[in-house]
Amino acid sequence: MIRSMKYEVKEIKKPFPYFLTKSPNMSKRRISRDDISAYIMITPFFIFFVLFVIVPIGYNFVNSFTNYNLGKTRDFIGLKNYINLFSDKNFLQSMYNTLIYAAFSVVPLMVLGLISAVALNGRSKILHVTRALFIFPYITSMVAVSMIWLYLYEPSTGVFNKILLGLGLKPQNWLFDEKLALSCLIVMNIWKNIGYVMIIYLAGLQSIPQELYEAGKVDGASDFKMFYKITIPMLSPISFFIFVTTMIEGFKTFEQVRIMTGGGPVNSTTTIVHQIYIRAFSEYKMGYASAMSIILLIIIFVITMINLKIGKGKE
Amino acid sequence: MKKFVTILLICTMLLGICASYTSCSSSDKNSESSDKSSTLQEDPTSKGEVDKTVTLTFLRIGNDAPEANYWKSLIKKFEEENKNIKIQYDDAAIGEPMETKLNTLFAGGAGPDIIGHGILSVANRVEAGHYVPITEYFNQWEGKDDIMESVLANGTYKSEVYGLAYSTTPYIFAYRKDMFAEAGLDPEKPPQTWDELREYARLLTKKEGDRIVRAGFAFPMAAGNFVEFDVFVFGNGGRFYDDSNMPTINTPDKVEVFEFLKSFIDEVNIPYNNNEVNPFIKGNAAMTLINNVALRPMLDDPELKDKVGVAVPPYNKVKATFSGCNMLFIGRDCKNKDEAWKFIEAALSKEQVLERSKQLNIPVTRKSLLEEFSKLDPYNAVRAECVQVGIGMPRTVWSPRFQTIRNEMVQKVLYSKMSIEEALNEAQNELMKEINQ
Repeated sequence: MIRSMKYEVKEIKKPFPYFLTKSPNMSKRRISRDDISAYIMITPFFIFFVLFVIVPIGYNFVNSFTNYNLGKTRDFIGLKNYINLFSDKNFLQSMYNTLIYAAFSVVPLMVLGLISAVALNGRSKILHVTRALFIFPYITSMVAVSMIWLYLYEPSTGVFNKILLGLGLKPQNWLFDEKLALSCLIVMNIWKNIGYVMIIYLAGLQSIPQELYEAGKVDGASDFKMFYKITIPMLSPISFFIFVTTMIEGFKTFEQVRIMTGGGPVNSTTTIVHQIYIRAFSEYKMGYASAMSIILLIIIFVITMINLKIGKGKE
Repeated sequence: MKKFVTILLICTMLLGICASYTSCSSSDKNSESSDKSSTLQEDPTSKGEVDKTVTLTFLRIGNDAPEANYWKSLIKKFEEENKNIKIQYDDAAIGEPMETKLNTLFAGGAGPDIIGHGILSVANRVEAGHYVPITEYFNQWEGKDDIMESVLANGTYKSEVYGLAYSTTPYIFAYRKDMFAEAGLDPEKPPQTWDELREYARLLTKKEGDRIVRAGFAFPMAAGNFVEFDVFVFGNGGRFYDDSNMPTINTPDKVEVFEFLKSFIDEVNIPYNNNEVNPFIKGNAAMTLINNVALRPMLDDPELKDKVGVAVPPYNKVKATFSGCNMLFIGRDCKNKDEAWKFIEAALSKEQVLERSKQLNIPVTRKSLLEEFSKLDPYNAVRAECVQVGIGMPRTVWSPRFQTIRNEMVQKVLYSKMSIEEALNEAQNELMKEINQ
């Protein structure tokens, strides 16, 4: 027997961010059996979270004030690691490279991702296949992608130089040219992640109510005007999400640097995480590397907070 | 009820913090309970009697299949002869993968019982307490007077023996005889001096327009470890540290090496990074400096039979090359040192040293086997000579930092980011700063 039910739909307006706010009757509310079940169910997550996130961060933070080198030494040296960091040319170079990498990856990724999503927004089989092809690079491991692009960029037999020669242009040293190497990594990053951005935008596009476009057509708006006045504003929460996640990913760049350039030539592609890795696992300077990772944590935290602030403002 | 749930969550968090604190502190204190691998285990095959089997862990540097297969066969043989000892074998690629694996294991208080590692690890890992001295075992060993002095020195630090070599990997000069003949050069006469090397490299380089399609001499330009630079420094009579273990980077011998390299490298080289395959292996270079192990597949390739030649690297003042050396160490977490030594002894027996040479073309480390080794393979005479004139990485606590600084210095000069003198002085100052810290 099917019972008919009536739902009363009310628009819930909560301040942002919701999880930090306290409802007025929260303190008075009694905890039900369901609540206890819920708490018990999230307990394993809490244990995992504390063990593998909170404790390592705390441990790392403590290490950053020591000269820990994986051996016998672990003396407290105050802020010395942090002071040394800001006179460390390699670290400063890595901060600059990381910023350039993140900034020049995010904007093209968003623009090209949106264009691809608009172009591939449809129901035909060809579009389905093309969308699947777009997502392939994203689901492929960065190590495999890096190895492939290493061959593409190879100066003597690489595909890109063959194309340049075919066009009558001068071949380049790509990854061995300090002025081009970082751009080469950025291009590869855009190629790899465009599928991810496209799929998120596609989901956003498909959730825009068609009535808005119909209303636009009735008002005589051109396709471009509808894209500019309807699509882009309606996608702004999605754009904000993509901006934050790709920016953070950019700051965490490591594998492609490790495999394709080793941070070279002349540190032109070294990133913060690559420097952390070199200091920690090649030079065993765990304390110093911990200080670097704390700085990275702060940078990512600040960027996320700024983004959240802007996002909140837009809401 | 709310209070109860809050207390429950707080307890959960505290439990997590305590658990991880315990695991961290156990690694610091080298707790016995953390090392399960080297504890005595009851043999399940025993009938009633408590027959104890010792399980030892063994981590070796390098992950090439032929050498891994050799070690697995040795372990099998050893286990058959020593029923109460089991060896758990593991390996890691040369360079950062090995360091990462080893560091993680030691940080977790589960360091391997036996470690196969290189010269660079000696000073730092001894100072870090990761290796234990084996001098007492060594002094009672039958082979102690047979091991080559230069090889023994690699594992000795502060008058204690920590490691004994099981293989040496010298950098040798490799060249393509067919390309020599094509360029009108005598395939049996590789270059012996720097001037000859430069001249031959120019002759052997092939270009299509501005693009070099075949390198006359392949030299790395990024990433990895620039030991190829060290080969030239040693061949010019230079060293990177003095008798008091202090760095000697900014000396005239290095200036000469850079001046030599800069005089021709750009004209004859296809840039590659040391993390990828050397163009010589791909057939895109006529000459290179390469380690013995990496070259082996080429020498075994029937299509390249008689087309590849090897020689001692060309030099300016002294016949010398870089020679890596892998040794067996006993780790600090080892609870069964006698059994670990027994395995080392078996691996360094004359029979096994020769077996490794036959199977892997690894130069021998025992003096009494030199003659027999040279007869095994036509390339072995060059390999043996390279070991004899080979010089390893500095055995100092600043060696890991030296690698980074040397690599940056070489790139700064080759990419003309700095003058030779500036780059050398900067490297010297950086190392001094490191030592003073």
